[in-house]
Amino acid sequence: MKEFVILGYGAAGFAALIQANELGVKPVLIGYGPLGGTCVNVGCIPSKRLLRIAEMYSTAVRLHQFEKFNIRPDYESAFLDSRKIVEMLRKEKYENLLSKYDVEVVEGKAHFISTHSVKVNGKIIEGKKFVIATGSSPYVPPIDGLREAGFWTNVEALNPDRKINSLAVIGGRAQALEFSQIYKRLGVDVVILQRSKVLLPDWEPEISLEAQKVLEDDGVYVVTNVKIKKVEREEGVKRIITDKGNVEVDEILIATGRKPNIDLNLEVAGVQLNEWGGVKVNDELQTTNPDIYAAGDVIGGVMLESLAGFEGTVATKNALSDSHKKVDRSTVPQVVFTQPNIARVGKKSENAESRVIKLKELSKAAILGEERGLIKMTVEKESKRILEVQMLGENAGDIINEATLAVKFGLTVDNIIDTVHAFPTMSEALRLVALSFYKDVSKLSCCV
Amino acid sequence: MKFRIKKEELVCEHCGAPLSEDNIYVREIKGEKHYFCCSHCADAYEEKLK
Repeated sequence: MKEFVILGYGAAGFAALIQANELGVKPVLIGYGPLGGTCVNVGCIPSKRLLRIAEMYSTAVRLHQFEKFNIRPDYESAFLDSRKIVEMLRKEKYENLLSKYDVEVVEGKAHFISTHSVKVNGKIIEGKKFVIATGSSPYVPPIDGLREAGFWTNVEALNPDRKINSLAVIGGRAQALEFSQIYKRLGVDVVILQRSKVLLPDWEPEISLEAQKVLEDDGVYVVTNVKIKKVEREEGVKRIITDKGNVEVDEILIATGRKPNIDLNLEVAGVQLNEWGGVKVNDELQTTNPDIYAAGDVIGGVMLESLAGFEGTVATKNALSDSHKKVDRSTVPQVVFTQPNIARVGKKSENAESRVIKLKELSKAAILGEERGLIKMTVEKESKRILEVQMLGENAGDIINEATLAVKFGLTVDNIIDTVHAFPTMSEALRLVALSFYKDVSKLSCCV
Repeated sequence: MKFRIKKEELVCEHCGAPLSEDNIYVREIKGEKHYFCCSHCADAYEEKLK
């Protein structure tokens, strides 16, 4: 019987492997598809690289002296560049790493055949402890005619088989926003079709509206509160019929979220599912089978590379030692990597109050030539303890880490106010919104 | 890209005022998010449903 078996070799699986070795255990690592899973191959790495390429060109175009050159990134070159980054990072961060660790790798798709054994490639592997880290796949909503007409998910959108001139993005959350900006800035006409009344419907409403403005500034056509009736294909054109009218495009991108990969015969292992359709775990990441743990996207809910890696480490520590480490998902920051970024951390509770400031109040925003955006802070009324921060603005993805420390360690607005911030920086947004609980920040000079 | 699609502006679900990031208020009523210009409109909307 093997000491420790890891199912999946993406971010969570690799973190589990590294932690197991640190605890002196040689695991069996079972997975299929390219090493590294979604993030490095068809997720964060290529999409953020494409956003960066699009951002560089967009910035250049905005500068007056370049206007006459009508600069636009080359469609094919952008994807080629992103594929190079994927290959480089997959090799450096995953393939080459395997030889540095003590591990038995089995390539194949595993499924449980009992509470302590899995079958893969016809071979039975028994284990004392398991970590399920099989990740997630795109969720495709049941739309009449969609499968017949054909569509893209993030996989095809990051590796397009042809140059397209128009794209309809179905969805209105992080992935939909990022791909809309990438394709629009690569010269493709983009329309977003979002079922909810706003983009990013589970974010603060000010952020939702500002996000829509940012995309519309880029030239993306955003339609909200729309119901898709059916999709048709005719002579290479895809027609989307909705309750608000029709759209004809070259391609359709489905960006309506992801579903946990739970096709593992979990019932025989005594592993139950949760309300998200993922693997049910307690706060120590233990499933309903005490010898099986889970980590990352397969749990469902918030699906993030950073969280998956952290959970892979925690699940392994808990499975192989008495560490009883817990994961607090409420202080995990989330970022939409559009330009400007959109970021948040924490959650509201009863008896709270909020303040919003526009980022045009910051000198750095003017220096960067990017004054769009806002920051919203929510605190506990009596103590002024910071509960939640949401921000849309340049570099918000970096600034949110300071807010994360504040939320995680229970800092108050006074703690932030009493901390001198470097000037001029976008991080001052956090101090300025903290100050706004006491004064009108529009009447302040640069450094107060 | 060809499209003939109606785009709706987000307005207060009680008084019909256009909403912007300067005046937007959201309240979840019966499991669905509703958008208003202020808490008074949200209260009035909720009252109407009773």
